[in-house]
Amino acid sequence: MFRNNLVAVTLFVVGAISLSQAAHATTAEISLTEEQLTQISTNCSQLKVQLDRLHSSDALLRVNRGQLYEHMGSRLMAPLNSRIAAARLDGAQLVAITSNYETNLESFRDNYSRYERKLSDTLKISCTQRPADFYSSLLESRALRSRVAESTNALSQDVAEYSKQFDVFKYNHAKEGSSK
Amino acid sequence: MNPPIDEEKNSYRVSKSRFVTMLVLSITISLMLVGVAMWLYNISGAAQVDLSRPGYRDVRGGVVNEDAIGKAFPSSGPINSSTLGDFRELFDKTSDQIRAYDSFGGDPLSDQALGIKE
Repeated sequence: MFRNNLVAVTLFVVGAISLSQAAHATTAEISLTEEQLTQISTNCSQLKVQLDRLHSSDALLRVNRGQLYEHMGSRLMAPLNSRIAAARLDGAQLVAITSNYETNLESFRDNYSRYERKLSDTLKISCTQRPADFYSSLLESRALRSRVAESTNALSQDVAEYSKQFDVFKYNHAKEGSSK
Repeated sequence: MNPPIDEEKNSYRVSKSRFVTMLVLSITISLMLVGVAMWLYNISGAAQVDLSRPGYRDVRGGVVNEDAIGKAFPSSGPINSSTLGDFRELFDKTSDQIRAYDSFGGDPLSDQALGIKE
């Protein structure tokens, strides 16, 4: 029994170590050609301007999108759900979609925060002196930005789903009304 | 020797040092509170949506006014075909705006977009 536990623990530790090494290797194994490194350091100021512009425009996008998403969740979905609940009608599906929407909204905020921090860090790295580190940070920013895009897609899907479910609710409500 | 004058001087010195101590303590406490506030400002994510920061001057004008998004649906009232129709109208207006842009899509950070040739 003790031996089995020991083997299991050893396997777990070895697995964990190899996984962490693999993760470390992926970040360390960003191989850039000499030409690419030269490109980064020579076009450094241009790259920084481009990234700085993106940083500002994404901040604006975050504010505007955030307002829209907040409006949809707290000023449209939640009040309708409250009304349905107050009227003692079945809106369980709508509530479930709203809850999912809120979760996705939270991950949108978190993912954007992570992306913004990483991009700010990238902008602080000197691409003339440390082009490889700059590029590595850029890759991380890229991955984090795609996660923000995934969150916005998930929110759009929730909105579409809520819309469909609302039609079902409306249809059922009309049917019940006509049968009374 | 004049003992009352010495006593007066001593008392003046004590009150002066107390005043300086109070001043230093006040400044230290204020600095600490400002530090905590700044930490909270950064950690809460408020800094990231604060376009009044320097560097965002050019994009500040692009913020959509909250009134332009649409009206809120009242959380109390009856549920009937008219109110459901009103909701549909408000919902469509907001969802159209959500669908209007490809948020954070594309890849402006790709090698190609940044001009880094493979």
